[in-house]
Amino acid sequence: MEQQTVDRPATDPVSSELMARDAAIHTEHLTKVYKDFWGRDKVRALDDLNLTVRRGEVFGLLGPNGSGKSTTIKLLLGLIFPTRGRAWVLGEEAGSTAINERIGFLPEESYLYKFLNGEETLRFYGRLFRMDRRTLNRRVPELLDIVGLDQKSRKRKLREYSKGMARRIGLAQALINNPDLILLDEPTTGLDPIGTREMKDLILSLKAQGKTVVLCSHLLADVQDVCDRITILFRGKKMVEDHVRELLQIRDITQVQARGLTAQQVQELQQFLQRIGAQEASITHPTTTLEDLFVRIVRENTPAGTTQQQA
Amino acid sequence: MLTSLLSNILGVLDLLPRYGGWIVAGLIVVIGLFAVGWSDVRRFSFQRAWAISSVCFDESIRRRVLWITPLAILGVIITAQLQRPFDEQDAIRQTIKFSLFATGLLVAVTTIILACTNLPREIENRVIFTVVTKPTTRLEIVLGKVLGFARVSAAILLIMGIFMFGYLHLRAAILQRDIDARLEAGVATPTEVATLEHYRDVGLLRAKALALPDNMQIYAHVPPEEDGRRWLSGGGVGEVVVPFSVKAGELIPPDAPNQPAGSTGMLALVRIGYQRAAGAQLIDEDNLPVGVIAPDAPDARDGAITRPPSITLQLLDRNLYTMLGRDVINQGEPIQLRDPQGEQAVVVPIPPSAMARILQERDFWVHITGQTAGFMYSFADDAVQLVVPGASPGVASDPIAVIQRDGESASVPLFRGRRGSLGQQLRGGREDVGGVAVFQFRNVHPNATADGNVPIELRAGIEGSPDDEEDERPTQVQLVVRNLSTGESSEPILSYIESNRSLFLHVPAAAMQGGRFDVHLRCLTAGRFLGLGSESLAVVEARQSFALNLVKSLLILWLLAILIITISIFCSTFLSWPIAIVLTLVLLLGHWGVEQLDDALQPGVGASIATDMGFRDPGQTRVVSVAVEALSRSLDTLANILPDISRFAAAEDIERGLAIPLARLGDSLGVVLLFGLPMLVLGYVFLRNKEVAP
Repeated sequence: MEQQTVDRPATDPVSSELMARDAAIHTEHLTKVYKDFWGRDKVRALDDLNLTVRRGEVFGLLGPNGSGKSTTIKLLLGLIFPTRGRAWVLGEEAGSTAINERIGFLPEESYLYKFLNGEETLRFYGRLFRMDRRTLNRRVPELLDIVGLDQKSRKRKLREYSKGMARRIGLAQALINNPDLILLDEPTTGLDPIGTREMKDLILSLKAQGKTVVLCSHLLADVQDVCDRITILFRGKKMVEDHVRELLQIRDITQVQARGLTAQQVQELQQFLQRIGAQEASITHPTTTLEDLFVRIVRENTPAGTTQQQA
Repeated sequence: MLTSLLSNILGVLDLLPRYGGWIVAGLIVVIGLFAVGWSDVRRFSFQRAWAISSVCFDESIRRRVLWITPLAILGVIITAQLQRPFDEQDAIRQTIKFSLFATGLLVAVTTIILACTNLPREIENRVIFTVVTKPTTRLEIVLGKVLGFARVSAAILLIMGIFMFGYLHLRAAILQRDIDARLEAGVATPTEVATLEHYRDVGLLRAKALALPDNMQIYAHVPPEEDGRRWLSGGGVGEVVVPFSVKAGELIPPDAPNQPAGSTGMLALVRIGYQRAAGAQLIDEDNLPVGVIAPDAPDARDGAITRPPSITLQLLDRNLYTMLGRDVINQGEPIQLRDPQGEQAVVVPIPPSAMARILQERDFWVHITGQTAGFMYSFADDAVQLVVPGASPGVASDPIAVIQRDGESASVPLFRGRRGSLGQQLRGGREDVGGVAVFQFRNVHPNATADGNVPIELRAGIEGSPDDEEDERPTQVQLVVRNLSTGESSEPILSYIESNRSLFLHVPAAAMQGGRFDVHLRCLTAGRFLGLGSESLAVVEARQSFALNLVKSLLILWLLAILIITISIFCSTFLSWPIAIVLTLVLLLGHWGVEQLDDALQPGVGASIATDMGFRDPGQTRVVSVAVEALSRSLDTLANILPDISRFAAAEDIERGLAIPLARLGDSLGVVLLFGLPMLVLGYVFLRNKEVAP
C-alpha cells in the first residue's frame, strides 16, 4: 500500500518544540523495543512513529491486534518508556505528571477497583485531581448521568457490573477532570448498538467543546463515523495517515442521490447514462446501516420517560 | 594475596564510623527525594496520598481482614485458661504476654501479606493504569500505600488493645478478690504474705518504674568506712576482676625503645591483705579436717597443718572468658601472700610468650580469687597494677593500662560472687560467715507510697549445698539500706524468699533521702546460696497506669508494623509477591539470626573450624581460616546493616510489670527512621523507573 502522510517530522529541535507546542500530540521517531531478561531485543512493538494530532480533532489510531496502538497510548501516558525518539502531549514531554491534569484515559478494559461502587470510584479519582467535596457532589452525579448509569447501578460494586456498565463508569472516570485531551482505547467494546451510538454522540459532543479525542479501535465502522483523521499502524509501523474522507473516497466513481423520481424518470436517466458511455452505471435505492435501523426500532418502542437501560 | 586483599576490604568495613548508618540513610533520603525525585516532591499533595491510603484501607476492610481479630482474641482466652501461673501476678503477666504476642504476630503477618501483594497485584491486573495516568506521582502512590496499611494495622491494634484492657481488668478483679480472701482467712504461707499484701495494696495491673542499681558487688562483709579497703571471701567463694586497656606503645621496655612491644612481658604488682575468717572451716582441696593448721603458720598450734593464704591470678578477655589461664601465669602455682596489711606488693610475672594475645585483645580483665579457704582478702582501689619490666634487671615502667573515666582511674577491683547456675552466688549464713551483696544507688529519688515507705523488689534464684536436698527450711534474707547522705542505716528488714519469685520489701522513704544509698543484702540461711545479678534488686521509683503502658506497648507494635510495611512495599516494587514476602522476612530477621550465631562469629573461629575440618597444611589452614573469618565478618557487617527488631520490645517490660520507658519508644522510632524511611524512598525511586505496563 502506498504510504500517504500529511505531516512530515521536523528535523531540528526548535521546529520540534514548535510543532509539539501547537499539537495535542506530536511524536518523532518514537520507537519501543521490548527486551528479554538478558537485555536482548525481543519484540519491536513500535518502529519510528512520526505522528501529529492537532488540537480539537478526533483522531483514530487503527490497526490489527499487535500493531502498536496500545503501545503508542502507553508511551504517551508514561506507562512505559520509549527505546528511542520523543513524544509530546499538549506541549509537554510525554509522561509528565503535570500534564495528566488535562488528560483523560479510558483503557481497553475496566481497570478499576472492583470493591468500590460507581460513586465511590468517581470520588476517588476526583480526589486524585484534588477536587473538594462540594465539587465532587456536583460533578459525580453529572458524569453518571452523562454516561447513562442509573441510580441503582451507582451504588453497586463494580465487580457486579456488566461489560457495558463497566465501560460507562470507565468513561466517567476519564472525564472526571474535564480534560482537554481524551484517549479512548476500544471505547465501544462491549456496548450494545444504543450504547455505541451514545458513545459516538458523546465523542462528537466532546469535539464540539473543543477537546481533542484520540481513539484506538479495530471496529472500523465506529471510527469512520466520528474521526476526522486516522492513522493505520501495522507491525509497529505507520502505513497511512490522512483525513477519513480523503482516504475513503473512490475518485473514479460518481454518486448521485435524488428524492422524488418516478419510475419513468429513472428509466430516462438510465438511458442517458448509456448514451454518454458511463461504465458500470447502476441506479438503486440507498441503504441505511444496521445500527441506524436498530436504534430507530428501539427508540420507537421505548415508552416515554424511561431510559433504554430501564426498558 | 587474595586473602590479604579480602582482609583489607573487610577491615575497611570495620572502620564504618559509629553513625555511618545514619549517614547512609540520610544520603539515600536526600538523593532519592531531592536529586532524583525533586519534581515529584514539589508536586506532592497529601490529599492525593490520603486518597490512595483510603483505597488501601477500604480494600483491606472490605476483604474482611479485621475478622482475624476475633480468632486471636479467642486464642488468648483459651490459652489463659490453660496457663499454670505460680501466683496471681504471674497469671496477669502471662496473659499480657500471650495477648501481646498474638497481637504482634497478627499485625506482622497481616501487614507483610497485604503490603507485599498490593502493588504486584495492581500492576498485574492493571488497576494501576488508571491511577498512574492521573496527576499522581509515584511518591504519593508509595506513601499512600504505607499510610493505608498503617491505618489497617492501627485498626487491628485498636481492637486488640480494647480487648486486652477489658479482659485484663476483669481477670485482675477476680484475682484481687481471691487475694483478699486468702489474706483474710490467713491461709497464706510465710513466704507469700509480704508479696500478697503488696499485690493487695498496689493492685496487679499497675506498672512499675524501677530504678536499677549502678553497681552490685559481693563482699565477704560490709566494707568498713575507715580504711576504704574491701574484702573478698576465700575458698573460691568470690572473685575480683579489674579492667585494663593497653596500647602497643605502652608495652615497649622503658630502657630499650627499639625492642618490640611485649618483648619483656609484663609484671602484675598485687597488694592484697588478708586475715583469718571468723569461725571459718578449713576445708581445702585435700579435705584436711577442721581445725588443722600448719606448724609454721603465723598462728599455728601444735600438731596442726594449714595452707598459707594464696590467690590465683589469670587474665580474661573483654567478655570475661579465659584469655591467659593460671597455667600461664606464675607457672601455674598459686601466688602466696605474706603481708596481712596488703602494703607489700607481690610481683606476678606475665611471660613474653603471652603478650601476643594481650596485644590482640587490648581490653582485658585481671581475675583474682582467694584460693585458700578460711581467709578473707582485702583490696584497696589500686590493689592491682601492671608495669612493663625493662631489658635490664631492676628497671620497670610506671603503672600502665589503666582505664580512665572522668579523669579518674576506673581500673578498680569489682567484687563478684562465684558464677553459679542462677547468677553470682551470695553465700548464706550468719553475719560473720555469709557474704553481703551491696547494691549501689546513685541519684535515685523514689516516690513513697501512702504509708511513707518505698517498695524494693528482690528476685533471686536459690541454690542449696548437696547436703541441703531434704532441707525444707525457708530461705531468710535480711536487707539494710545505708544512706550515704546522712550516714544512717535503716533497721534490718527480714523476710523469706522463694526461688525466682519477686519479693517486695518496704523500706522507710527517709532511708533513701538524698538519692545516694546502698542496699545491703544478706542470706541468713546457712547452706543456701542466692543467685544474683545486677538487676536482682530494684527500687520501685514510681507507678504508672496499665492503660498508659498498654498504649505505649501498642505504639511500639505499630511502629514495627510501619517498618514491615515500608520494607514490604520496597521489595514488591521489583519482585513478585511471593519473593517479596521472603525477602521481607530475611531483611527483618537477618539481624536477629546473626545474633543467634554469636559464638560462631567470635574472632578465632576460622582457625577453630580449619582444625575441626582436619586441615594440617599451614597454607590450607590459613586459606580456610581467612575465608571463614571473612564470612564471619561479612555476616557481622550485614547484621549491622539490617534492622534490629529486638528494639521493638513491646512485651518485655510490660510482662515484667515494668513501665515502658519513653526511651524504648524512641529506640523503635529510631529504627523506623533509620531503615524504614530509606526503604520508602528506595521503593519510590524503583517505582518511578519501573514500567507499570509490561
